[in-house]
Parts: sequence; C-alpha cells; structure tokens
Amino acid sequence: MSDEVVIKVEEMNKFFPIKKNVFSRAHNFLHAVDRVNFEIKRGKVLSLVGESGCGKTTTGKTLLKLYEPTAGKIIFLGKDVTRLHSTEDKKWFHSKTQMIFQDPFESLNPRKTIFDIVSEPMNIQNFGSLKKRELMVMDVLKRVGIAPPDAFLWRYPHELSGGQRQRVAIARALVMKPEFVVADEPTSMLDVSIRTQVMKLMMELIREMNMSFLYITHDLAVARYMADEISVMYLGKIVEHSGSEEIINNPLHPYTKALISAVPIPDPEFKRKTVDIKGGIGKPIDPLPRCRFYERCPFAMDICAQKEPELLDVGNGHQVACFLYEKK
Amino acid sequence: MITLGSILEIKNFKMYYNTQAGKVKAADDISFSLNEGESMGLVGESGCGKTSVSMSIMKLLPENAEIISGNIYFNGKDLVPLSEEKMNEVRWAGISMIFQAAMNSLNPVYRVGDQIIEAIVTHEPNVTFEEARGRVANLYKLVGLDPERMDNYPHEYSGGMKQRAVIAMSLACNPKLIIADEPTTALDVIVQDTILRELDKIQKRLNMSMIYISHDIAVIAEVASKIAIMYAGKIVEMADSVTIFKKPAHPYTVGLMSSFPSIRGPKKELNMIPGEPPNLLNSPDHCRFAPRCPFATDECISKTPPYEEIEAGHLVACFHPQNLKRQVSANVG
Amino acid sequence: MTDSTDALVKEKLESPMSVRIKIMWRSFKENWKIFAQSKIGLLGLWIVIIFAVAGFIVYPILTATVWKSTSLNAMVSYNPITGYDFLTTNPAPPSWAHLLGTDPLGRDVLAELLYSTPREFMLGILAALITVFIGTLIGTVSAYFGGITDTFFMRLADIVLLFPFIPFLIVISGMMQVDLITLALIIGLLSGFGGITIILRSQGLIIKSKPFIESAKISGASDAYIIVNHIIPNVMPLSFLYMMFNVTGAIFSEATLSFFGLLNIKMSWGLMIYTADTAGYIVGSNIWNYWWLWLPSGAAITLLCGAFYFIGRGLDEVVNPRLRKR
Repeated sequence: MSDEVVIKVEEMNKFFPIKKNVFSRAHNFLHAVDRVNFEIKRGKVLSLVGESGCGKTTTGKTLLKLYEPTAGKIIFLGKDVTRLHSTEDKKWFHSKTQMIFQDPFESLNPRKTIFDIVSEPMNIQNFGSLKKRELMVMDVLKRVGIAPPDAFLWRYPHELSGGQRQRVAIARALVMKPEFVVADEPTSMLDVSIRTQVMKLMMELIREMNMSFLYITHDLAVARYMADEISVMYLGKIVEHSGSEEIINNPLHPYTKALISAVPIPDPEFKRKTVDIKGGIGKPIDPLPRCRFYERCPFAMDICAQKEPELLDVGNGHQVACFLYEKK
Repeated sequence: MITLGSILEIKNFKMYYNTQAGKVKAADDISFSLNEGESMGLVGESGCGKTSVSMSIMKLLPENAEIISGNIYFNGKDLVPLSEEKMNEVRWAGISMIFQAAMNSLNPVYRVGDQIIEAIVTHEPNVTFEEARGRVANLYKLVGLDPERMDNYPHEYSGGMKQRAVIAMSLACNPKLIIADEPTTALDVIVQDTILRELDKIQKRLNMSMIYISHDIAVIAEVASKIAIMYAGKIVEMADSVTIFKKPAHPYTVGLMSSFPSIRGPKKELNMIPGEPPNLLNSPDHCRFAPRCPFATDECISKTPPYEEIEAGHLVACFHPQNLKRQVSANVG
Repeated sequence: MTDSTDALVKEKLESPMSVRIKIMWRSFKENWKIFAQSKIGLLGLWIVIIFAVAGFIVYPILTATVWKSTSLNAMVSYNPITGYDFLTTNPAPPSWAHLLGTDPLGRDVLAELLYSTPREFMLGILAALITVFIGTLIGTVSAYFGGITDTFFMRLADIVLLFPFIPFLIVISGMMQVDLITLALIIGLLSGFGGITIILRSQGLIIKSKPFIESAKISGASDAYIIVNHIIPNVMPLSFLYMMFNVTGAIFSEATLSFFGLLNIKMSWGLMIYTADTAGYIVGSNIWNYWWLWLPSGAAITLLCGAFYFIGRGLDEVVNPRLRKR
C-alpha cells in the first residue's frame, strides 16, 4: 500500500457567526472547528470520535466543501482545494469525494427511484452514456448486497428496509469510485444485526477500492473496529490522536479516558471504573483561551485556565493536547 | 398459580394489531415474571415488539390493538380485564414508565417542578401543594438534580437534566415497578453512563422492580440482573444476565453477542447475523429466526419451538439450543 | 406493491422511458387509492366531472342539434349572447322550450350556463396554474437561497397578502379592458406572490435541510439542479393541493367582479346575476318570483368552487399522511 496522502488538513477553522437577523453584523462566533490538523493516507480510515456538538460532523462537511472553511488549508491529492474557483476544479473535486449520511430515511430523496438516486452523481457530472450508467448502477448495487439489483432499480426508498436503504446510500456514494469518503455515523440508526453487516460491508469495500475514509462516530467501539487511526474531538478541538489500538488501550487525555470508561461493556460480571467528569458538553461560543475541557476535568491545574494546550507528540505518533503530558 | 414474591407475572400474553394488511403479532405468547426488587432487561431490535409489551403492561394501547389471550398479574391482580379508571389508579402509583425520547415528554410551557407536582396531586388528592413540593425537592436530590432548578422551564435544562427530571417524575408516586423504555438512547455516552448509574442506585435503594427495554445489550448488561431476548414478537431466551452472556443458548442470542464490537480485550472479527429482522405481519407458525439461523433444520420451519427450561432459570425457545460451553466458543470463534 | 414492481423488472433496462411511465402509473394508482377513501374528495371530483361534461360535451352537442337555428324555429335563438325568444314575454319561467327559463334579454338561461362553464374552468385553471408556477418558483428559490432574496420575497408576500384584492381589481378594470385571460393573469400574479409563496417556502425550508440535498451538493450539483430536481418535486404535491384551492378563489373573484359589471366579457355566471340585478329582478319579492334568473348561476358558482375545494380536501389526505385514517 502506498503512503500517498489523499487528504490533508492544516489549521482548519470553521466559525459560524451568530446573527440576530440577515442585516445585522455578527459579534459572536461559534467555534465549531478550531485549528484542526490531520491527514489520511490512501486506503486508510481515520475516525473522528466525540460527543454530539463537538464539531465532528462540521469537520467532515467542511472537508467536502459543504461549508467554506473560515481559515486553514485543505489539500486533496496534492492540490490546494480550500477555495475552488474554476468549474473544472469543482467537477474534479466533487467526482472524487463522497459522503454517507447517518439517517438512511432522510438521505434518499423519497420521490426518486433507486436508479435515479444511485445514478445521480454520474448524472450531475455528465458521466458516460445512459447505458453505461445503468451498467455501473447494477454493478455497484450488486456489490453492496442489493440482490438482484434489477428488482430494486425502479423501487422507491419507502419500499426498502433501513438496512437496504443504507446499502443504497453506500452504493450511491461509491458508484463513481471516489478517492475520499466521509461517513457520518452511517450505522448508528441501524439495528444491531444490520449494523454489523453494514460495518463489514464498508470494511470490505474500503479494502477492495483502496479508498480513504473519514469515519465520524460517537462510538469508540465502532471506531476501533473500523479505523486505523482515531482522533478524539472535544468542542471543536482534536484533543488526542493516535492509532486506534493505542488510543483504546492507552488513552492519555482525561476526556478520552472518560469516554472509554463510559462505554457500556456487554459483560455483566465486569465492573467499569466510574467516570468522574462533571456536567455536560457546552457550546464553544467565543471560547476563552484555555483548555476547553477545563471545567469538567478532574485533573485541572492552574495552567489549564491560562492557555490552550497544543496537540503535541508524546512518542510513537501518539498526540495529545493536555498539560499533564507537556513536560515529558 | 402466582409465584410468591413476584410483583409482575405475565402469562401466555398475546396482543395483535389489526391493520388493513392483516394481523401484526406484536406480542405472541409472552410469559415472564419479575420479583420484587428485581431488575430485568428486555432486549430486541426495533419492531420486535418490546415496546408493545411495555405498553400492554401499562395498557396504553392504540385502538387497533387487540389482546387475544393471556394475563398480566401485577401484585396478584390481573390487569387485562381492568377498566380504564381502575387502570389509572395502577398507572403512576403502581407502575410508572420512563418513555422513549423522554426529553420530549416534558411540556415546554410549564415549569418542570410543577409538572411533577401535578402528577403527585392528581394521583394522591389528599396531598397538599406544599407537601408535594417537598416531595419533589427530595426526588430532585435523589436523581442528582439541584432542587433550586424546580422552577425552571424544560428548555433551561440540558438533555441529561431533562432525563433526570423525567426519572424523578416517574418516581413521584412511589411506584413498585418502573418500565424504562430506551431511557438513554438519545444521550451521549458520558451522560448515558451517569444516568444508568443513577437509575441503578435508585432502584437498589428503593428496592423497586425495574424493566429496562433497549436494543443495546451492553446497556442492559450494566443494569439488569435478568435478561429476556425478544425476536419477532416472541421471547426467545430468558435467563439471569450472567448466563445470557456466558452461555447463550438461542442462536439469535449467540449471534447478537458476537456481533458487537467491543473496546475491551483484543480486537476481533465480528460475526454477523445474515438477513433482516422479519416483518411481524402475519408471522408464520414456525420458528421466526429459522430463515437467518445457521443451525436451522426442517423441524424449525414446520413447528414452533417450545419455550422450555433447559437448565434452572434458563428458558429457551429453540430446537437446537447451543447451551454447551464448548459448542458456543466454537461458534463464536 | 412488490408484485407489480417485479413485473416491471422484466423489462428492466430495455426502455427506461416506458418503465418510468409505468412507475408513474403505479404511484398514481397508489395515490388514487388514498384519495378514493375521502368521500368529500370524490364528491368534488364527481361535481367537476359533471360540469366538465356539461360544458365541454353536452353544450356543443346541444347547439349542433336541438338548439340549432332552423327555419322552423327562427323566432327562437339559443345563442347565449345574442339569442332572443320572440315567442314569450321575457324573462320567462322554465318551460319545455327553455328548461331554465329565459333572462330579461330573452336569452336561454341553460344555454348561458353551459356556454360559460368551459370559460369558468379555463379562468380558474389558468389563474391557478400561474399562481402555482410563481408560488413554487419563488417559494423554493427563497427557501433555498435564504438571506436577502428570501427577505425580499417574503416582505413582498406580506404586502401582497395585505393588499385589498377586490378594490384593486375594481380600479384595474376601470383603467383597462379586463377580459377573462387578463383577469386570470392578474389573479394568478397577485396570489402567486402572496400566501402560497409563504407556504411553499416553509415546505421548501424543510426539504432544504434534508441530507439528500447535501448529498447532491457533494456530488457537485448546481443550485439550479438542486432546486429543479430535489426541492420542486418534493413541494409539488403541496403546490398541486393549493392549486385546487386557487381555482376556487379565481372563480369567486370573477363572479364578484362580473356582478359589479366590471369585466369586459360577454357571458359568465357572475354576469348572469348582474344582468338580472340591473334589470331589477333581484329586488324585494322579485327574488323569489324570478328565481331562475339567479339561482342556476349562483348554484353553479357555489358548486364548482365547492367541488374544487373538496378535491383539495381529498388531496390533502394524499399529501399529508398524518391526516390519513388508519
């Protein structure tokens, strides 16, 4: 497997202005994504893990140009795609990136047939002849386990089960063989037995098509199964990043530790450690220049309230943004 | 016939929904009993009938639901023939419920404390407003909320706080049994964890009986001492939670156990159950898991397997129970 | 449902066009099933069909046969605009020669009624089409783009909504010759920028927030593509529903204006009442003595308007699944 970096993010920010109405100027900003850095190599899966409202979905959508980043750089296949101006550049970028959404009931247009849904990316890109599109749709549907594909081609989403819909959504994302896919909690709405099927399917497809994946989830166990690397996000910041096994077995940041110990274990005889962090997650509106986890952290020190910790390498590519580890 | 010390006993309970397309067998021959102070988990995928069972216990059924047969004994009294008025006395004071998406069950235009006070006053008319307020303050302390927040409106609460308030409300009339339907599904892991611990603590402290309903077997493992696995309107396996996890007998349970990714122990390949959960519409009269079952034989697609005790306190509805330890480990891999 | 799809699959890829037509036919049948459960909707549909048959089929047949001017009945003309019956004193009550009597100018009331029917249809439907076209376009565009565009069109809608509609039409008709098509245009434009825009915009806002819109954007879809292919098809059922209600509104407006004699049209239901009124037959006890002068046209206006409204109610159950009875 090559070491080619497919997508690289440098110091990316995404702030949302909080406006009272269309004409007023915004004085406050929601720091949804705050100076985020990462890269994903070809064929690798990076998982962004965090609680709801931590900015993981915004990160994914900004990467795919649904939002313009406020600052920073996005480099895709060696090309700066932070701002896309020319039509060719846009076409090139959009034909090589895709997204899989959380809710299979909402991500498929209820008034389109499965054929229309799956062939839409080719349609928009004016790709190939109708005959060719049909063959590609049949091919990809067969690949995601919608069998026989011709029996489903002219059905509407409401005639399909949740699992089938998510397979169709995956087929739609992969029909043009993208290089980079963002998957936003693609299994969290599915039933347990279907969830495993879809996770396995995605793993197979990633290997087979040698794609790069950004897998967004709140579930560390799923992230561990799916991803090569995990980044933990908290209120717009990446607080810890490492290989997935390393994070699970040796979490450093107090927030990661809390997340891991909060995951219920399917074993009634196993007693977990209690999570000793306080309160709930807030909103990063014009945050103070200090550690965002300060209020909830059981190990908070004076320095944590004075400045923001940087994401630093503590060895073996394990990065953590916490003053507890800064001295090393 | 009623087991001593059992607070809830359901016997051969059948409830079908009549729809235009046919009968939906949402609860098909459900039997279980729950002792005082015991907590039980009802696990199953969406549409398996677990919520229908809980709604049947509360008798909060839609118009097209029909109770075909069976009894639900609560405290020795059968709830099935009970009139709506009599049932109202049982609800809240006897059995209360924490609904799915509980955060939306608070009325946004009333103060949270007042909503709980109202629940108390309607069910116990001789309680004065001041007494009720005192009780709510105590309940707030019990569920880990600041009593000063009683006079706030629901939108001033966070998701976790609303969930706590709803739990406080379900405790308001000192019920003997609480049914918690997916109590933590919409919450983040850390909040989910604290709520589960709180519920567990309260249940043990007040010696209440509890039925947890969830699709998440890991959540159930944390809090329930007894687990029933539901599949397509039937309970396919029931045992104490350790047995369910260590010696699952029904192939569906076995499949469920190994299809969860875990963060403990070495990373392992996931086993998956092929196919999709069946539609409950006009369910066939044979084992409903048979089409997805790796052990299915001709017997499985011709007869309904009996729901039998294969060892003390371990009931399974399967012709080919996988109860031997050796066999289980071979299948789970 | 499944069986019919499986049958379709046989032809699968050979001719997508014919498959598409079959799919449309299938979803039409499904929706028809829901619509047919609404008694009020069916009633409305039947009334509309009866009017349509009467206006588009029965009237031409009658003029070509029974009502044809021949040498035998040269004294009696059934022309709804210029006809005159020299054999009776006009207005004459219903008789075998004139089933609904004649008006003060000696014209056959039934002929007038039938002659006007296709014109009422045309007016109502044209006005409603313009309304829905403008409303859908502006509603979806302002929902999709938001910001200044949205604010502008919504304030415009507020102004149009508060606009005194009938007085405005009265002024217009004083300034220019208003015939049926002009009237349809005016009504269509005014209601198109008004309430329907607001309703379709709020529906558009719901659709806009759905992930399939983002999904299309990620594939590189342009704004126009998204509006045409995703937002409009999803607000279309609602547009269609409001179209039915707008037909009602347009016919009512026409009747009102004709009643005041403000329109430059030769014959319409409103004009029939106007004629009777100006001739002094809708005053005092005359009302009941000359009932055939105003009752048929009045009833026709009420029935046709009601019928379109009823169809709208029936469609409402197709469009809003929450209203459906289980």
